[in-house]
Amino acid sequence: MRKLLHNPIIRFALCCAAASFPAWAHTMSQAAVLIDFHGNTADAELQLPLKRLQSALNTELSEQSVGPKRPQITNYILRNFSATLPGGSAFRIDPLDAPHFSRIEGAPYFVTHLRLIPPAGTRAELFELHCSILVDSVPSQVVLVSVRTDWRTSTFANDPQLVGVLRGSDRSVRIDRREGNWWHGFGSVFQLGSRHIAEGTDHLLFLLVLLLPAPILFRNARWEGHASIRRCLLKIGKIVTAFTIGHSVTLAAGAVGVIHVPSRPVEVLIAVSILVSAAHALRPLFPGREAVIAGSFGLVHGAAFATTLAELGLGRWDRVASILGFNLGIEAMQLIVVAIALPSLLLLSRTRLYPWARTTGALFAGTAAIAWIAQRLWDLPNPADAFVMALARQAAWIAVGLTMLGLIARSSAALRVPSRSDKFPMKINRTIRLSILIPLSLTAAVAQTATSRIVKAANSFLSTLDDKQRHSVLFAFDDEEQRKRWSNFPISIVPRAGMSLKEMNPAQRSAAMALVSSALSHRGFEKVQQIMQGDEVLKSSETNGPPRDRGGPPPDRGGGPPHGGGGERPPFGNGGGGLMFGGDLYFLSILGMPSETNPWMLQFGGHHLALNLTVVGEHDILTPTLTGAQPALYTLNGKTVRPLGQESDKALALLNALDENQRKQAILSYRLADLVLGPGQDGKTIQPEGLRASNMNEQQRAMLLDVIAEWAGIAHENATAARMAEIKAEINETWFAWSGPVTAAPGGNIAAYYRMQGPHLVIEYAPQGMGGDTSMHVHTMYRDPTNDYGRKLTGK
Amino acid sequence: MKPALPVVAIILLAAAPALPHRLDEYLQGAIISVEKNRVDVQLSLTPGVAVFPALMADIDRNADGVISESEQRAYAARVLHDLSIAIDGQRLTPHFLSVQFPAVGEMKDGGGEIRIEFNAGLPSGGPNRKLTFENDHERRIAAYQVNCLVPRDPDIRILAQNRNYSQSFYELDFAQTGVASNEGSLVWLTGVQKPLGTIALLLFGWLGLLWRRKV
Repeated sequence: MRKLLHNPIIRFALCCAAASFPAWAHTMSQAAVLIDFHGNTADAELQLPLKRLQSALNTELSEQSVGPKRPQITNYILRNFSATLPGGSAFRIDPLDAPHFSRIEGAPYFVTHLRLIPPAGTRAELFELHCSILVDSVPSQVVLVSVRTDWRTSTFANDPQLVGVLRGSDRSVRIDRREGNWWHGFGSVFQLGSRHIAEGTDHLLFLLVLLLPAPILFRNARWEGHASIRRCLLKIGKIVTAFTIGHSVTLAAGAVGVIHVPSRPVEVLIAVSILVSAAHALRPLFPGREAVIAGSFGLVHGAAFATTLAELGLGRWDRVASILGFNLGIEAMQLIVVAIALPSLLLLSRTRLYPWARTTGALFAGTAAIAWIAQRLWDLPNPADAFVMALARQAAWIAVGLTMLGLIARSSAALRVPSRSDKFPMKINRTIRLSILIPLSLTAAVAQTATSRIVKAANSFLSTLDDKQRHSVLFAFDDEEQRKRWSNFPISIVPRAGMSLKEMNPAQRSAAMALVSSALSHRGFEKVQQIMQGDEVLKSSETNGPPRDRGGPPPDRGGGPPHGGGGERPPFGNGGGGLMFGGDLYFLSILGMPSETNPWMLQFGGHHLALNLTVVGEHDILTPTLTGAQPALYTLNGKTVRPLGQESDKALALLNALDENQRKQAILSYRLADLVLGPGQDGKTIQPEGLRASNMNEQQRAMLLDVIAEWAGIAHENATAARMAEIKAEINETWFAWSGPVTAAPGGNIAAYYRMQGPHLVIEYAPQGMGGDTSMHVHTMYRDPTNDYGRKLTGK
Repeated sequence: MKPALPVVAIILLAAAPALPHRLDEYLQGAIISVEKNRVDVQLSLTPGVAVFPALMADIDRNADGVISESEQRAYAARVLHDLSIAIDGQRLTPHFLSVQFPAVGEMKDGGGEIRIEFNAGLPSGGPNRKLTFENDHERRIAAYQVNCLVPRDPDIRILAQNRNYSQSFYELDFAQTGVASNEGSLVWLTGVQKPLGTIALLLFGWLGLLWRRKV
C-alpha cells in the first residue's frame, strides 16, 4: 500500500475525485472512516454527521438523547461495516466504545471506534473495506476513507492518506499494504529526526554555541589559549553525549506519555538555553561543567522533540520504535554538524582570530535567542528568525569559509598562536586535509544531490513512456515556441504541448508527479497540488453550476494559433464549447535531455500553473513561473485551503508594518487590473515603482524577503537558498508597490495588486475582477527578466 | 467606440455566471520603450467575454465570423487613432509596425490577446524630456495599463511616471544625456521654442547689423 498511498498522483487523484462531489464543500455532511493500523490489527474511527445519521436511522438524535439509542446505532454500524480478505474471509469487527457525541469543525457528529481483526493465521495486508453506513440511505452521502497511521507504509497522523471515497453504489475500498514493511516506518522517523535537527535552527545553535569554548582553556577567570586536540575532542564528545542523553530521556518520556509539557514554555526555555550558552561563550559561567549544562538543557530540547513525535499519533509499540528511529536520526545529523564545524573550530582556535570569531558567534546567538524569547513569550515580530534561517541554509559554505580562514590564519606568523606544548604543527597536514575534504565533500554532496535527484526522476519518468509518448514529451532545449507555451488560461483557450496527466497511465502519472516533486520544495509541491486541486474544485462548481450562456454554437477555432502557441490541439479539446478544468489537465514536457551537466528544462503546467525549471549543472532556475488560484479559498477534507494564502497574508502584514510616509510611497495612485508582465512578456524589465527597500527598516526588509520567499521557495531547497541569497544581496534595490484595498476579510485573501521588483526579480500578485469576489481569483507571476529560462547561463 | 457596446456588455454580464476569465472589461496594456530617437509601444488588448460580441461586430465589419487581414489592420488603425502620444508637448505620429490576432474562439472565451506594435520618431530635444501617452480606445469598458521599460540605452534615465487612476493618461519624465552637442546646433528647440528661437536669432542678427553700421 505504501506505493499506492505515497504515490502523489494517486493521492491527488483521490483528493480530486473527492473534490468533484458537490457535497465536498459542505463539511457538515461528510462522514469519515479513519484507520489506524497496529501491527496486524486496525482500529477504525467512524465520524458520522448527526443529521445524516438521524435520517438513516429515522430517529431523533441529540447529545442528550443518545444514551438509550446507543445499541441501535451500534447495531446499524455493525450491520453496514465489514472487511474481507481477497478469498472472502471476513474480519472480526469489535466495537471499542459506544457511539458518542462530538463536534468536528464545529459540526455535530457521532464518533465511534471499531477494531478490525483479521481471521486467525492471516495478515491484514490486502483487504476490502465495505461500508454502506449512511450511503445506503442518503444517495448524495460521501464517506471518506483514510489511513491515519500505519507504521508499515510510513503513514502518520500529521499527514493522513485518503484511500477511497464511498458514495452511491461505490461502497468498498481496497487497502493494500503489501509493499510496506517495518523498515519503511523506521526509515521515515529516522529521516524525520534528522530533518528536525537540521531544520531546527534553535537546537543546532544551542549545540554549536556550547562548542565554541571547547577548544580553548579556562584560565584566570577567562577564556585563554587553546586546549590540545585530544582534550578538545574529549570535551566536545562529552557535550554531545550529555546533550544526547538529556534529550533522549525527555523524548522517550514525552513520547510514551509519562510527561506532558506544554510546548510554549519549552520553546521559551530552548531560547533561554541558547542565551545561557552564548553568555558562557563570552565569559566563562560554568567552565568545565559544559556537559552538565548540555545534559540539563538537553532535557528541555527533548521535550520539544517529543511533541513532534506525539503528532505522529502512533500506537504504543510503534511509538517505541519511533523513539529509537527518531533519536538515531537526531544523533546522525548532530554528528554531521559537529564534523562540519570541528575543523574550523580547531583551526581558528589556534589563531589570534578566535576571540573575534567566538565573540561574534556568541553575540549572534545571544541576539537570536533574545529575539526568540521575545517572540515566543509575547508574540513579537522576530526579524532575526529570517536571518538565522538564511544563514542556516548557507551553513555548509560558512563552515568551509571559516575552515579556509583558519588555514590562512594558521599559515600567517602574525595570526598564528604559538604554543610549545601543542603538537598541532605535527598534525597539521592531516588536519588540513580533513579540514578541506570533509566540509567540501559534504557541501558538494548536498549541492549535487538536487540535480542528480531531478535527473534521475526525469529519466525514470521517460523510461515509463513508449516511443510515441517520448516524442510528444521531448523538445529541443532551444525550442522557443515550446518554452513560451504556457499561460494562466485553461488548456481549451491556450493549448499546451507535452503530455497531460490525463493521457498517462497510473505508473506514468506517478513518475511524472515524482519528477515534479523532485524539483520542488515540500511547500512548493504542496502549493502545486493545491492549485491543481483548486482547478478540480472549479470544475466541480462549473459542472454543478448553472448552464453557461455561450450565445450559440461552440467557439470557432479558426483564425490561427494563439500567441506562443501553435501546437496541435490536445486530444481532449473543449469538445463543444465549454472551458476545460480539472486536476488531470496539466502537462509535462522536457526540453533537451535530462543531464547533470548539459542544460535542459522541465515544464509542468496547465490552468493557473506554469513551472519552467531550467537545470544547468547544479544551477536550477525556476523563472518564469506562474501560479494562480480559482477559487483562491476552498474547503477540502474539512480543511480550508488557500493555495496562495501566504502570499496574501505576508504582503498585507508587510504593508501594515509600514509607517504613513512609507505607505504613501508604496501605495500607487492608480488601478492595476491584471499582471503587467504575464505570459508573453518574457525578458522585459519595467521601471520599478513604489517604496524602495532601502527606505525600509531591517524588520520590514526581512518581511519583504519573507514574501519573496513564497515564490523563490517553490524550487527545491538548494535552488531556493541560492536564489534567496541573490535576492537578499540586492534587497536594498528592491521595490514594493501596492494598488487596491489595504484590508482583507479575516481568513480571506487580499483583493489588491502588489509587485516586488529588484534588479533580478519581478513578482506580481494580481487579483482578477471577473464580476465576482476579486480575492477569490488570483494570478501571480515570478520572473528574473535577466535570466528567464536560464538564458544568462546558457546563452540560449 | 460604438454607443451600443456597453449596453450589450451589461446585458451579457447579467446573463453570465462567474467565469474564470476576463468578463466585462477590455484590458488594454501598453508597454513603452524609450530609445534615443524613437519610442516603441506594444499594446496588448484582451476583450472580456461579455464585451467580446460587440467588439467582434466592430472588428468583423462584414460579419462573416472571420477576422480578415484587412479587418485586422483596419481595427489596428482605429486603435491608433484613439491614442495620443506626444513629446514635450509635441504630438507624435505613430507608425504602425504589426498586428497579431488570436483565434476568435480564444477571444470568445476571454483569453485571446490582440497585440499591436507601433513606434514614433522622437525629435531631438533637451536633456529633460516629457512623454505623454493617452489612450481613449473603448474608454467605457477599458481597463488600461501602461508601463515603461527600463531603458536599454544608458544615456536615458527615467525620472518620474505619473498616471491618472484609470491609467488612460500617462506622463513619463526622462533625462537624456549625451545631447550637449545638439544644444550647439539649436536642434533642442522644439514646440513653441522653435519660433521664439527664430525670432531671437533674427533679433540678434538685426542688432549685429546695427552694431556694424555704427562702427
